Amino acid sequence: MAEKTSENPLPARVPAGGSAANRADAVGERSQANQPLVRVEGLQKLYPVEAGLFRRSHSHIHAVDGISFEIGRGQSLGLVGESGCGKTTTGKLLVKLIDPTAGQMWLQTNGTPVELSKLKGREMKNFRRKVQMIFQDPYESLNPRLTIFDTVAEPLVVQNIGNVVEQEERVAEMLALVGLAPPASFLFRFPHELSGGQRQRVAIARALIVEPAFVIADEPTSMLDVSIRTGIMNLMQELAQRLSVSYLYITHDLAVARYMCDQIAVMYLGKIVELGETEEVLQHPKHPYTRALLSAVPVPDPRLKREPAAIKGGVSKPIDPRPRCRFYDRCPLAAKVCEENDHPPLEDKGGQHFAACYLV
Amino acid sequence: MTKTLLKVENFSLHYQTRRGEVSAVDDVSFTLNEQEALGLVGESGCGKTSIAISLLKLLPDNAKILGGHIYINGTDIVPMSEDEIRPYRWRRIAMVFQAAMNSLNPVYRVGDQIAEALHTHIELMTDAQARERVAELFRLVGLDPSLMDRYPHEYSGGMRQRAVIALALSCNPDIIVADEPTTALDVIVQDNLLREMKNLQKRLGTGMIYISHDIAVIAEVSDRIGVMYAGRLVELADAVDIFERPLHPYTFALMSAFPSVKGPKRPLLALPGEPPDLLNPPAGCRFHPRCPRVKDICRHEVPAFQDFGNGHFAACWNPVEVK
Repeated sequence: MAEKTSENPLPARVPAGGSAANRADAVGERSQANQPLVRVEGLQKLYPVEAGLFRRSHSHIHAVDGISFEIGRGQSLGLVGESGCGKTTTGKLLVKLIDPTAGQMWLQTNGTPVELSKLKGREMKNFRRKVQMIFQDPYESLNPRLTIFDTVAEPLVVQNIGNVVEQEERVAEMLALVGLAPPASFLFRFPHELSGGQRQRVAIARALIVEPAFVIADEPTSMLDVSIRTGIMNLMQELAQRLSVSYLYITHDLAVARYMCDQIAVMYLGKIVELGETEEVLQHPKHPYTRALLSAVPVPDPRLKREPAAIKGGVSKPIDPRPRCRFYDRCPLAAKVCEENDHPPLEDKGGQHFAACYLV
Repeated sequence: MTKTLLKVENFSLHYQTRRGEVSAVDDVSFTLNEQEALGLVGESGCGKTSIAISLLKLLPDNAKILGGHIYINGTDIVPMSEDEIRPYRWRRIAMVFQAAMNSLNPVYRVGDQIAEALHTHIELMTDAQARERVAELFRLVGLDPSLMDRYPHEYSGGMRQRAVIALALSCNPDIIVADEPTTALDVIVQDNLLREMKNLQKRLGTGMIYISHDIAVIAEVSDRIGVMYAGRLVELADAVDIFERPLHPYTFALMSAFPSVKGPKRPLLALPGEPPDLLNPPAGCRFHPRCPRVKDICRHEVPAFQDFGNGHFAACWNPVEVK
């Protein structure tokens, strides 16, 4: 029932100048420059559907179902899709808040890719330093009883970095960097004294203070007002360049993804259905789901008229999905081939633009 | 000559809190004509929801109307008592609330809740008549009438919002106020619903007030757009006009900060600072501490909300010049 990873060829996403990564390549054979920072292959997470007390559950929700992608150093990948498509689950898997049912994830640290399921002890601690997360709701992700200094310094304390004086300097430096200036006036305040935008800046400072290589940002701006949101988006971009951080940027908003990400992956019911360079995907969407999603986004210009989205019905839950295209029920193009075959593989449709569809 | 359905004149509202008086709405004036869709856009705390609930006089106990008038079909509802206002609610002016989940009672069937509204507000309706009307309303908003006997938890988010719209339409109101009607919904569901609401509004000729923080949603559905900041209406104009020629620096900033999936990718300009604390709003123009075009007069004197030609209103001492 669980889809085999071999059915889902690895979408080769290679930094400029590299040749297409071949999954047959032994990892060690590749030159270091060509190695992505993060590589995910056939990642799957199933949740059992509870059938009742003491009864074994026989059906599963396929929250993330065999996805593969790569993120290069300093690059950002936007994971977009509607609620329930598995984007947040993917984020949680990558920070190891939950363990995958199947599949592998590699993170490159000190030149060699490490498979995340094998991490133990010191390696695990190092991983926790290299990978950080920024959450959606800055009202809930900050401990209301800790001062801003304690909140931002906590990762340093946990990781045993520097003494108190150095930590204090580092925190002040970081607060200035995220635009909370002068830092002295914020250090000993509590989260409730700050606005939503300022809290999100604190969350960013905390994530970046241990100099991570990879940050997973789960809807970091969707709770914020427009005039504040832009400031946070610009800040995240600026810091990513300055500190050469890679992002996995999870959002439901394609317009935000357009501004934040080099690449976009569109998810639908646990599957990546389209993946490619941001502008390429937005200008020439291939998968019918991406097209529908794009045509449904309201445009801030009353002079532009949009065509209604070509899509049927609403999102269902991926409980033991039938072996056919996941999008079959809602697809305007749905044909026989889509019903009789398993979910289509994510294939290169030209120019590193991947889509999982039999008909494009 | 088009009929004016609603006229708000110099309306001001305070909330009394333990920390002092919050100036939530300050000297707001606008009109709504029949068959017109007016969009009010602004960030959280700008007073847009306070205006919405004032129009139905559903204000909380700590709200105090400081002055101004709200005329519905020529009658001022501000001085009215609770008993006097009741015939206006739902029959003249109805509201679609932000959280559809919370506007429906979870222990009653959806159809029964709408029938109850019909019984309460329209006298002499038999149960059979009410059910027939509910079925008609369900078809109108694109719901299968067989869903009438289901409970709210059996509905999806989009279906619930449709049911709430059916509820708002039940008594044939002249005006519907929709406060963030699609905010919690996914884009595809949102798109369907907005199209549906727009069609209904044109077909039934209802006056519509859309309230949202999302300038893109407002642009899609509105004939005229009003921009609010810190309790004041700072600009009001025809939808196309306000996008082509924003006069107020805040409107301009809002538009420059909003990303779009269509059109050329342009840099997004962030607005420095944060909206003011309305316990103690800044003197003069409330936008002056964040305004890139601030002049000395902005700090002391409140700019008048004046017509800059063709019904394009703005409250600014130093409006944006358009090339």
